Amino acid sequence: MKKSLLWLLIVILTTSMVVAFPLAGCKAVEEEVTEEEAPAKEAAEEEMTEEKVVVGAAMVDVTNPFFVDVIKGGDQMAAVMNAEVIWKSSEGSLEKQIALIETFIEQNVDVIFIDPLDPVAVIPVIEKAYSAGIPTLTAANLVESPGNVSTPFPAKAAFKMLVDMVAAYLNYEGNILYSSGIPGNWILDQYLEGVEEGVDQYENINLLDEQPAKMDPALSQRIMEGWLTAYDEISAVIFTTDPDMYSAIEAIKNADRINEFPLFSQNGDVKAVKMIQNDNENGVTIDLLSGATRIGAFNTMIAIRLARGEKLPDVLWFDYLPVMNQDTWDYIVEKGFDQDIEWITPEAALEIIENADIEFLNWEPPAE
Amino acid sequence: MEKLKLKIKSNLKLLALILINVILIIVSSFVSPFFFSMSNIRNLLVHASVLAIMAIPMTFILISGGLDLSIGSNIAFAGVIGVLVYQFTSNPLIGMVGCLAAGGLIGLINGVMVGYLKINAFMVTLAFLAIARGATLTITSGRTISVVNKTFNYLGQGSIFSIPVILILIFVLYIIFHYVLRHSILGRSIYAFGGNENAAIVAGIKTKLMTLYIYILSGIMAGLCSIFVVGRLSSVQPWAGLGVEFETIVAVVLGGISIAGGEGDLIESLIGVIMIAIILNILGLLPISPFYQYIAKASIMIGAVFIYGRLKRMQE
Repeated sequence: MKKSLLWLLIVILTTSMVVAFPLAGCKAVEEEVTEEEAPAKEAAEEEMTEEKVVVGAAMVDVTNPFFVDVIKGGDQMAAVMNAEVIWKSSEGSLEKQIALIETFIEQNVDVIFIDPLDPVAVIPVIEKAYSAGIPTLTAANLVESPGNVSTPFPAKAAFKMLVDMVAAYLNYEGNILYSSGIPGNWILDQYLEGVEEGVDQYENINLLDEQPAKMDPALSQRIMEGWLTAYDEISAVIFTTDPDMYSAIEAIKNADRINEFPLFSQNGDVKAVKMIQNDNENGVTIDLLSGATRIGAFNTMIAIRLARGEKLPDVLWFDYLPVMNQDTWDYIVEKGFDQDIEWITPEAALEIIENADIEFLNWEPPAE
Repeated sequence: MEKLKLKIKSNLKLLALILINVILIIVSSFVSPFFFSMSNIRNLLVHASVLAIMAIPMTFILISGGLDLSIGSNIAFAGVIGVLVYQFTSNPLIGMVGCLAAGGLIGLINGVMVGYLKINAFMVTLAFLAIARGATLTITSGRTISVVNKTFNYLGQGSIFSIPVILILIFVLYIIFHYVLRHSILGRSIYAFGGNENAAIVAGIKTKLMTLYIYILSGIMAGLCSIFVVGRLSSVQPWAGLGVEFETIVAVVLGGISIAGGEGDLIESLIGVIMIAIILNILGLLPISPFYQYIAKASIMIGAVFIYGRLKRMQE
């Protein structure tokens, strides 16, 4: 009997420690970040006199590396702007996401940052937050609801622009392949529409095939293997995300066709940017930098400003930045690409990826 | 005094579960000032509604020695079919019946395969986990369908005297099915079948029919959950109910239902559901890293099961 009670005590203590540890851990991490701030951040922090705010963030998932980087960028920004972000994972379930948002309302956080699984289904709970006086921010999607600020991606326009650059790079003639995303996902469908509309503009540019790689690198590799077998005349391949491109590169290498055609993608992964920097290694030519750390930093910055009572426009578009070498830019301009766009070199991209907070620290909303 | 001691001793298992929940509530109240508010308790119970409903058939199935892994996908499938029926007929009530019928149909197929064709329950329901999800994704093309009808959404959003309708319904369901499990012929057959299949057959229990009934019940309950989920989200989600089967099994097993069959009680399952709900709620309220949350959730569950196991052994 006594032995049993001893066991019980041990289990209760262990369980308590498991719960208590992360709370202590959170504080330790917070202090560590403060100690390691770069001089630029220290200067920014010195200017910070506002009260600390709490941001509740309901993410789609946290197991995907993309979201890990979103959290990293968000935490960088929060540290500089004197805020705390409580990151929670919806584990891909809308029911759980709504439950999380309701819990944030219960906690009376200063603002709720939502990466919505469904832009329509979250509206009732956003209205609930609004009634409770808590502003909300919905990332990546356009959600029209009182008290909510949306930061959607101009996804379709970005991929249409990418096709324009690809067309110029190919001198408006050639066969393109597109490795698309997950059918049914709003943003990824927008990418596909952008590619299709872009290709339709050019008489001599053909979309040979479009296959959904479903953001699964293994599937992307299999699709690439199939294309390499089926098509001899490939002029360029466009990928939805960088990880899909990496696995496809392995297939191209195995087929001994590396550098035979240029590759274009989206994400702004350090690895992809470095390939561009390294004289378009493996054919990687242009990468659209959305950048998970940038997304995290930008949205956290907006959320914190909303929490501090700032009035911001209901819709703030989050822009993609094409990353390419100066030579590539000069070449496509020479071939007739005449759009007035903001683009960056790989060096600038790497700096932005590493210091996502600095890019948006002095951000101002666009004039109405 | 002796009588009281005897009563406590015979109900030590149930008391242990209640004690663990009380400890969890006390600890949660200390670590988060928001935990013990009325609105949070209301949220906690509403968030646990799907688990609470699905714990009923899962208890029946586990006691009978079976398993149903298709319930999560069935929630999504039944919701889609019901909403399509509603769109076709413009009648929300017929749409809701469609949800129950679609869920029941999957349950019927599961029941026939497990009960009559004697195919392993794990394999059958695992296959239907994939089939129901695949059918849902095919029908919807992976897209959500909005449902703005007040009647259809009443179960997910309505309340009577500030009490959510779903909680009242769960209360009624538990009273009915507790009676069915404890006092009906079907209930006694389930215990007998789970305890010793051969003995149950010899005793004249219609085991095939009984298996069919409990899998149909599971399907209909999944259909009921789909009405609640559609109402709560004002839309059909092709990924609705994702992982519900595992959470339900964990809740029911935490409540002391033996996976080996023949043992357990519906009230214990409900306590297991509440335990899971408290754990998920407090982890949501605390500023814990989402990565650490997985470890914390599992550790607390292991701790609870361990405490329960020790107390059960003390009883024995």
